[in-house]
Amino acid sequence: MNAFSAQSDQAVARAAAAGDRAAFDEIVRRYMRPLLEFAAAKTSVPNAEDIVQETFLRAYQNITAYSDRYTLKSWLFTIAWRQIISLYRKKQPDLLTDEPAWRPAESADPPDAEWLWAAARTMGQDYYTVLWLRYQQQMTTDEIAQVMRKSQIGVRVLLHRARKRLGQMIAQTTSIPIGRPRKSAAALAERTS
Amino acid sequence: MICRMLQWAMEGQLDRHGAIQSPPLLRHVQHCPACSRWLQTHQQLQRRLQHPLPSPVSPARISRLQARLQQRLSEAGRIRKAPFRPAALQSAAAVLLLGAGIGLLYVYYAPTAPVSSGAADALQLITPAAGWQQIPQWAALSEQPLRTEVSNLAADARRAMQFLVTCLPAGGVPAGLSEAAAPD
Repeated sequence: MNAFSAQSDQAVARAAAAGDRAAFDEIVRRYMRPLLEFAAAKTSVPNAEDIVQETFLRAYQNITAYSDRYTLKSWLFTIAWRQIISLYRKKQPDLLTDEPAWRPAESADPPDAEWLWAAARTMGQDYYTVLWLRYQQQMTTDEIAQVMRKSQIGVRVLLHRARKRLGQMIAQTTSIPIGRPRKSAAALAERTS
Repeated sequence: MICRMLQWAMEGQLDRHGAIQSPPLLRHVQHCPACSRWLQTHQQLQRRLQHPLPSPVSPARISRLQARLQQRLSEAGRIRKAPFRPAALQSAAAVLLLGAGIGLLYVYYAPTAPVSSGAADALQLITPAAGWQQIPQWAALSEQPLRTEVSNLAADARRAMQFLVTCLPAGGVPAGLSEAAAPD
């Protein structure tokens, strides 16, 4: 507990912008875990650590530029998202394709959250990210639009399609294996033969 | 078709408010089996997606990262104040350069340079127009390469000073300001 624990994000950000280091430490305490989980969901944990560290450094150096027009959460996630994109461009153009092809477990039970997120991961970066920000971070469509630099309508369309595809995946659980086409069972068999 | 449009509208309300608030939409859902089924599926999916996932990072890892970050933030704090030092040094260098330039100009140009009579006479023959008096000075300089060099240096110094005065921002450029300043 510190002097800023009970204060709103905006108040803490203002204090940090005024040069109060303890206020910035409070921001780190509040958002370290969500940012780390967000980045780790999109890349490996060591990469996620680097991304989060860089995100906080940039936030610290530019905290005076933070405006109350945005929530502190979406501002931080915007910086993190840019770091992730930059990492993709520099190192791994498409980290998600490096994931092993995921297949749904055949089961009569309704799919659980882990199943759904594994399925969402195969749908592509944008779909996965909008779903993650909406449901794991409880962000509004406005906030997601800000983080991903898309229009509100664009975010709504992505959410709509992502949910629709998830629904279709649930329906097909027992019949068609889900995965990227080029990593399908047929393609793998062809490569190994 | 109408149901799809209404589902789009319902989805918007569910995303924004967490519930359908429009009475006409609610009435439609009550009477349309397809939309009722769609709403049920949507809410189930939402509940499952909102279910917290196990964190991929351990608390120990988070503590280590926090410690590392504290150290880097302290370094960043020092860097943040640094831009003022180069700015002050640049200003001092510019002032010195200006002083030196003015001094050189004074030393070399204050006393009128003697005009070579031969060259002046030759020029007078070909340039009788007004302002010809300026030309002998150039002629004199052309006879003295060192002066030409010095005057060029002085001109360069003046241009450099002018550039610094017009282009440098008052407080220097804060490091990293151009990147990730704010979501715009």
